[in-house]
Amino acid sequence: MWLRRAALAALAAAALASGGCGSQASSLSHAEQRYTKALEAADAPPAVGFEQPVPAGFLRAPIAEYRHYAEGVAAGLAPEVQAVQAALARNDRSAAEAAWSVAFAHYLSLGAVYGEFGTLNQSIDGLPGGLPGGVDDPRFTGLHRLEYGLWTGQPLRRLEPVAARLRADVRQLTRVLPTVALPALDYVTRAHEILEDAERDFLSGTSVPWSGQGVLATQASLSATNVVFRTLGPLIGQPLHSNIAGRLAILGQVFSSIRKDHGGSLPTLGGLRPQEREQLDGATAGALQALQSIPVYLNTTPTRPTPKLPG
Amino acid sequence: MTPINRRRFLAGAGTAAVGTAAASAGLASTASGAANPTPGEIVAGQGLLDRVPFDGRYQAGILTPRQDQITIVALDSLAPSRSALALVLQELTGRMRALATGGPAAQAPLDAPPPDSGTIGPVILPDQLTITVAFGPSLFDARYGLAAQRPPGLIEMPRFTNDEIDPARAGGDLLLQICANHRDTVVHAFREIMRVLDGSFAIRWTLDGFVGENRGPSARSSTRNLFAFRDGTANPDVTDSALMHRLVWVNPGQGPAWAVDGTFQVIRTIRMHVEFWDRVGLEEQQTMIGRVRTTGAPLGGTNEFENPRYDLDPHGRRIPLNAHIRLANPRTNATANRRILRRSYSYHRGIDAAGTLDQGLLFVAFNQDPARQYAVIQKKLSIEPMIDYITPVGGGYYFAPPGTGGPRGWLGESLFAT
Repeated sequence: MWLRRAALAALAAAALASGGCGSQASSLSHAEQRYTKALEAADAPPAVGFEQPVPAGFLRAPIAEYRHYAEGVAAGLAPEVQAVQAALARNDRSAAEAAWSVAFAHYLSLGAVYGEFGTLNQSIDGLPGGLPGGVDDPRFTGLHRLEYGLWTGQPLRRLEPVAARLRADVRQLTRVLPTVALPALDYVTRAHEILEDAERDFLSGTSVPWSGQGVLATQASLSATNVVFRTLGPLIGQPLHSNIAGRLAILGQVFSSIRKDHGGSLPTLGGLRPQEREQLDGATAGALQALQSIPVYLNTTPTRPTPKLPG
Repeated sequence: MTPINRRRFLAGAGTAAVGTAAASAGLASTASGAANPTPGEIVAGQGLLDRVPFDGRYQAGILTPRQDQITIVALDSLAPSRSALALVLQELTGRMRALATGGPAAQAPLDAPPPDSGTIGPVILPDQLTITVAFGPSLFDARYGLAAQRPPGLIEMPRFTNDEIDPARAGGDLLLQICANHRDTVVHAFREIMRVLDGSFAIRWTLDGFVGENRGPSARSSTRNLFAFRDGTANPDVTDSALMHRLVWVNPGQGPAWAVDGTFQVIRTIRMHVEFWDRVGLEEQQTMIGRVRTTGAPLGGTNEFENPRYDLDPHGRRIPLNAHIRLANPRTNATANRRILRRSYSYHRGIDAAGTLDQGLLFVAFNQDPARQYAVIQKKLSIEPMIDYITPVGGGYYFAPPGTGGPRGWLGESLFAT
């Protein structure tokens, strides 16, 4: 427990240093003191939530830590896209597919910052569903355009401009990332949303229609979720913290065991054995059931009463 | 719906036959009374005797109050010629009329396959069955020489933002909307109709739907969809004929003459990610919709049918500007003309590949001009926060031709007479 208290104290100090609670005092604000007290008391039940919202300043350090993580991920993307380009230039489809899978998973492990860089996200990771021309639409670019071309047998030469564009977009991403806003409300919501999206889009297969790399994509989403949870961990009392940590660990073990049974790499969705499929689906759903409590638990804004309808 | 005169129906259908049906179902046929209802009283109490007139100026199943059960069937035509297609439609109309009207099922010699499957017994009880026919834009391609007769609004459904339409669950030359009070009636009708269509049409896709039971507080209360919110509250009044001619029916001068008194039908199969939805706080759910989940009242109000009074809330402090109900129907004079008649159902079709529940909304809407009405609303909804929780996966634009006009008419007659 002393570890958690130490972490809390560090958080509070960070909040103060960044001017989080107003610069009037060198001690914690009333709201922060109340929250700290409640958090310490929460080593015992109740399981979910505090009476008062989390002081927004307490989320500055977790968000900054995540941003640092995401910038590292983004910086690693450029060489991975370069590896795809190199394989395309060698006309080596299976190498290009393998390099694509690495870059795709790495992009997904950006996790909590997705959706915060708008059109760039669309051009890196967009699907053709809403485009008038579908897969032939000129606005269909990026990772999924490559996925489509690689797994449907398109000539690799035709994919080279797509990969070049992706590399430029990824470079742009590293420039944009330090400037994107990551509001506290969004950040705590992402604690469950990253994996919600994985269940909806990757385990179902709908967002990996050609490669079937839904297992890999879900694991990347788990990695990002683990980072979010690690940054928020000190703010979450018991027994909720243990419950979430346990559920995330179970899901992690499912991936390890699947990887082990498939010669050290993750299979496609179609390559999962029925029992593996059930364990993966079930562990994901179990993690989500635990994670759903985080947004309400770490709510930074008090519930506002709805104005009455004059009537 | 016209509640049918039970005595006359039983006389027409043959009281003995109904008695036989009831007896074979294990129902005692004894004296009338609350404790010992007659077979006729039993079926009447379940709405099985209620009949929706089949023939008329408009097709049934459009302004008809929603029955509890639906099956949508989209088919592709295999008919070799225009005249062959017209013949099938005539035969189809006859079969539809017989099913909707009810009466003793057709019989054949014992050694012949029975002309009716018999799954709802020897007497077909109408059960408010309606079967509504609509044509897809593909029917107006080069095959049957109908291109010049295509209503201009009948285009392939546009791809809207966030759509993930599966072609195998979209489109079709012909659409059948089969509705009734009970599921077995719908399933029976579908099966009988396929006897007429087999060889001439191939089923492209189909989907079953249901309506939530009315659990109050009043008979007028809207029922809930699978996000647990009341759905259909602000539907236009189908008894207002002038309004229906502004919003639903095609009038003279609005497209080809054959299409007058028809209407455009929009189908959208909208997967609802219910597990995800169930993991969202109630307050967030309510602000996404703009209504209180329990009562269905607009936020800040107490009763479902209250006017949300957006005029008093221009900045969205009570009902957010991107709330579903506010985007879909801003209730201004300028937007009154884009309203649509919704006739949607919920669906549950098992699980998806990830083992999550494959549930959603079988969205059905009728409107006079999709470009002016449905498409405008759908584009407005592209920014609603609810899009994370739903995925449109199928559907299409179709045109429901006018009704038969009378017992000798057939559906599509005005089109093929051109």
